[in-house]
Amino acid sequence: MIKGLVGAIALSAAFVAQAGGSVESIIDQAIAANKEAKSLGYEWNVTGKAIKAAQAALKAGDSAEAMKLAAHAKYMAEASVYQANDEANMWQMRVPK
Amino acid sequence: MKKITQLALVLGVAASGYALASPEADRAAFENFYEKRFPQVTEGDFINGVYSILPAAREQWEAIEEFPPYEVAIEDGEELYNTVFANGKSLADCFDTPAQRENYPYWDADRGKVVTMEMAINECRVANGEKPYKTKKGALAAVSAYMSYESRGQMINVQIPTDDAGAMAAYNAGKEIFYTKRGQLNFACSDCHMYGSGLNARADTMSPAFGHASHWPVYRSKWQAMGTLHRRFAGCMTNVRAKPFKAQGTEYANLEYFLTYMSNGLEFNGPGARK
Ligand code: HEC
Repeated sequence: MIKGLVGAIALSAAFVAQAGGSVESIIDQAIAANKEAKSLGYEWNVTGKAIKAAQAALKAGDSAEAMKLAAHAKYMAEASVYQANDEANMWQMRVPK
Repeated sequence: MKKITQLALVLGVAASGYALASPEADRAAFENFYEKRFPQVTEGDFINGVYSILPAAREQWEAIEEFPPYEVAIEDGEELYNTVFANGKSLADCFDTPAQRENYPYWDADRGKVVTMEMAINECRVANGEKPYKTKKGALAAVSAYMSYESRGQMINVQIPTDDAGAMAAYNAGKEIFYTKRGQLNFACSDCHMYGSGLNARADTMSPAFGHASHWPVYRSKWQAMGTLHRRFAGCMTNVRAKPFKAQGTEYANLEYFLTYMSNGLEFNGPGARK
């Protein structure tokens, strides 16, 4: 599971680097993924704050910092969705029989 | 190839085994897990949480219990229980006796939801034109403390009507929350309170989940106040950096339904005191 999570994070990092999208679009993707995690009951309590930090940096005109924070927020949001999907299959293994 | 088919068969059987596990089989395996892990704990003593497995800390805790920090809450709760609402009624009119613990949580088939004792208290207030109490501490914890105190010695005996699809779904949803890893730190309740029980997380030894639902609400030294079971759920989820669910919402009610059922056969001994 931890390996899987790290994999997902590495993947999304590669995706961000390649896509080279605008800060706004990366923030939008972070928001969308975080919403999905929330609807699955798996929102992390650090993601919302990370999104806000990225938005604040963007507003302050620090685009390099905003890009870094947006990418970080997006990794976390996507990792929490990954966790939700992975756990849907994994948890039964932990039930003692 | 043959091996793969065999493996698939084994997995298939295992998977259907999971699907078919009845609440009663779950409960027996759950209890058995803790009795095997902590053979030194005498029967029924798991209701004392981490002190059931930590003799050294237990002495100090027993000294605290002689002048219990939740006593004020019991008195406040009794007063609130009998305080007359604007319409002339009181909480006492909603319950035939304050000793209600053994009746909760239960599956309300008509409304299609799990009802906890704290929910019932708030529903009584709302039905009588009063505002519901806040759900984690304060007045609700006080009334709950009084009612729990009056219920001491009752047996935990939660019913899961297995022929009711809604009840089974609620039970399974609670069970799923207990066993799923959550938050940035990627921990399940079971990682700490089952497979990690008796081990340390920083300065704390992690308690067995068998008995977890017996003694609420709790006066916690860290809070310097009383808190409900759902307050504790929220704290544990926050600690693993997951966004907690709403206290007295569906998710925690289902989790309480599962967790309390797992402790069937133990005694209610609330309110409690913890570090
Ligand atoms: C990272 C480890 C960890 C995880 C994950 C965790 N807890 Fe805890 N929990 C603790 C620690 C440490 C304490 C305080 C010591 C104790 O009593 O176990 C505690 C206390 C509790 C208590 C109070 C025990 C008592 O006797 O009063 C309950 C109930 C509880 N946790 C339930 C849960 C539930 C339900 C979950 C999953 C949503 C959960 N915990 C997840 C570490 C954890």
